[in-house]
Amino acid sequence: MVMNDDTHRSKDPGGRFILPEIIKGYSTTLREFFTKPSTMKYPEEKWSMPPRFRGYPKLVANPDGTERCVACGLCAAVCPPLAIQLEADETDQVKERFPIRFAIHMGRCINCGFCEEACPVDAIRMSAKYELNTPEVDSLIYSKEILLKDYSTL
Amino acid sequence: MPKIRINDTEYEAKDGATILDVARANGIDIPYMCYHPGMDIVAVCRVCQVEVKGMPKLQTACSLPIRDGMEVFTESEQARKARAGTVEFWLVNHPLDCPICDKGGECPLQDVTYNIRGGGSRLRDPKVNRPKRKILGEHIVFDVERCIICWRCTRFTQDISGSEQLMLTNRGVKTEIDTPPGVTLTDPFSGNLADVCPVGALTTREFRFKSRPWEMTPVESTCTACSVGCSTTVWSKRGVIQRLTARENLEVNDYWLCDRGRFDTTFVNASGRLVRPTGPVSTAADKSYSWEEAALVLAGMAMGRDGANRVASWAVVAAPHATNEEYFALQRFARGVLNTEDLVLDTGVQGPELTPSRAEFLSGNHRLDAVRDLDTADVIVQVGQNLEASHPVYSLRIRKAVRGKGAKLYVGSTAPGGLDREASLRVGLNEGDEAAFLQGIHAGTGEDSFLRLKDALTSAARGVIILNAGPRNEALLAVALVLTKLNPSGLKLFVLDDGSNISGAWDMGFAAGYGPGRVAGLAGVAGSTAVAGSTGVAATQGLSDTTVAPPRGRAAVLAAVTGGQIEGLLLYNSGRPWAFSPDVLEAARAARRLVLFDIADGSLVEKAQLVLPTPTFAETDGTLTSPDGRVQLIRRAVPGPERLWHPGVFLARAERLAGGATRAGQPIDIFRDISREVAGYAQLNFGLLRASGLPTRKDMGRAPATVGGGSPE
Repeated sequence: MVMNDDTHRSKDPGGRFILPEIIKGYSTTLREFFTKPSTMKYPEEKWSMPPRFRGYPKLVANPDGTERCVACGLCAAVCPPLAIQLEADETDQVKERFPIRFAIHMGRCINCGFCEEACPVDAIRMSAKYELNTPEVDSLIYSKEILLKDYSTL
Repeated sequence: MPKIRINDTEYEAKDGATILDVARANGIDIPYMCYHPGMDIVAVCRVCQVEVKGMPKLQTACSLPIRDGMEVFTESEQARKARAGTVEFWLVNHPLDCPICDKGGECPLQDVTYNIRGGGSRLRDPKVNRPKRKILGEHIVFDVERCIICWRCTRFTQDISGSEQLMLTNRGVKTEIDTPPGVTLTDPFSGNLADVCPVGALTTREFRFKSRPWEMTPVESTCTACSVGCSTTVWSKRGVIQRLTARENLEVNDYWLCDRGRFDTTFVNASGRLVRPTGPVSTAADKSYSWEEAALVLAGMAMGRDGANRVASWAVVAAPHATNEEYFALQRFARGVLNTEDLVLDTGVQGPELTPSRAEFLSGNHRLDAVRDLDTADVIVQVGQNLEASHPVYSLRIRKAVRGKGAKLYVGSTAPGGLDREASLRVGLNEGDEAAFLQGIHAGTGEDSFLRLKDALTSAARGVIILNAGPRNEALLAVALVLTKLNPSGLKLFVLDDGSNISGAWDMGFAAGYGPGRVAGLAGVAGSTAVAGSTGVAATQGLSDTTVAPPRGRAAVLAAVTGGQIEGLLLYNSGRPWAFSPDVLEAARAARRLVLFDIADGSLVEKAQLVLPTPTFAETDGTLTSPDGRVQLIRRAVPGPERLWHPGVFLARAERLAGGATRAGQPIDIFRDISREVAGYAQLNFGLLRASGLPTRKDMGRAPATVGGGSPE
């Protein structure tokens, strides 16, 4: 059976009248002029991340600027992509042990948050930082100083 | 054999064993802190309490000998509660600084706590704070807070090392370990305190905060610092040695290691290591050669393909702490390619050489065959240097024999030492008087002490005379052999020389006039360089006569090098730093051609025509032989310099390039050759040696060189 159903067709199947279509299109454009845009002007504008967002890890500093970390190595042990490397040394502070070197390879980090979870002294936390653009891969290895100061406020 | 039931399972046990012995042997988990298999039982920690049927109160498993039919419950309500209570008492003042503590990760207290308690504390008062860094001695730092007063350390210094430099002071919560007033911990075995401490209270300054246990790779090896050959575990992280610990080996060192062996490892990762072959005529900017080029240079020098570089006659001098494989490869290269019999083991200007009398002694019946026989000796006479300084861990074994089995110890030594206090009699000697001392005993006249000693030796059932006079051992041995005639069946001699692997070098045939297996006068080995100025052409073309000339002594060889009669000198050191003796250095400076194998940069590197880096003890596989003839394995723990060829591989390549045989030169290949060619090493292979080593066959040196060694597999 051949149905000659043309209900779905335009009233102007030959497309001879363009104007109604143009009006239709521009009315959409006009409507969008007055609605709130769903995009934002990144990177001038940035998202404010939800509180539980996991960005890249950072080190927590004591009020005097020293690290809270005691270099126990649990973060390095638990890190699935082996992004953390640290070396401990002795101080004469009350807290005897500190990381003389501490580095996270942000190119390797997968933001899993295991380090934060493993840390017994709450010295490493996931920051809100998620941008890593850099022309050099080596600069993705963040040293203790960077992890503590430059973006620990993020 | 009594049978006991632990947790409703029946186990067989030896008479006199304790419940803990049975549990440990059968893998039943009973925690313990104060018990240590190498020390006496005190049962002070109370954590091993178990319930025993028929006994109203809980019993400590470590101290209760088993009885046939005994029924033990380690997991009953009562036992669990007692254990949990004990742990809770420890944790009242034990700081919870496991993230900081070096023991964290290998801590029995941590394990027990995790197994027993669910976490949390019932304590509301603050913990008592105590000193965290009390420096007890050169190596040991004490954290008072962490100590659980198990007495292992104090018992170690009292019973094992005998220094009595640790004790408990004060009472109750103030109890702490301390040295006696005015004393610092100078115990030559102090590193063991960190090993025995079941918590992180005693740590070594060398390892403190260096690494966590799980970050390191442990490799079972053997110490090369002296000839004792203690079993060690080498712990490394990212190719850097972090620490050495003692490894249980009841045949050699029990559970202990001396501080010299434990801490003397810094040279492995020090700067100044040689990393690639070099030579002054290299065309490279840094004067380096590839290994292949270096092998070609050595082959050229040896075989004279290239006339300008030909070296007609050679002498080979090696330090006394290389592995057996290196000595074997070296003597094979020296005899087969360099065509020389002038092999010198540099053990000091007047160091021991493998003389006929020494060779006869080593193959004879008077040699002490196993160090463990010291445990059952009834009379021990030690003559020479202070044993605690020269062969430290043997002194622990002797102390054990004296204190545990009531052996009588007589010391005639040139320097006071820790063993003097164990001795029934101690005679101070001047260097050089040792032989006279033994002669005095033999004569048994004059002083009263000589008479006592003679009586003791004559009536000994299992007497041991330890000769430890370093370079003067040779003279001493002759006298001591006469002395054994007093009591031929009851006296053994134990000769301790100052190099770490002299026994191995001699067994491998790295000795003038003795081939592999200490076989004298090897046919086909050229001794032709014995004639000063012998024509190099004849020697290098292998026209050497098959009659073996008597070997020259060390002094004559070195004089010939200095005087120019021997043109080439191959100096060999590997494993550890070695300062060659003055006469060797003089010969090296005078030698027309010097080939130097060494681990680190030194004064001779400038002088040498060819410099080849060698591995340290941690960078190579190999075997060592101790003075009682025990072969033990050392294993590669760290990678070492990049692309380092094992000396065996290098010498095999040089031999091939010089027109010789094609050989595989890795240590395991060389050991296969050793087990074929050296009588005493037949049937041995690396796998068999792995745990605690094995003794060599005693009849070595009597059998011909080509004893059909069984398949090494």
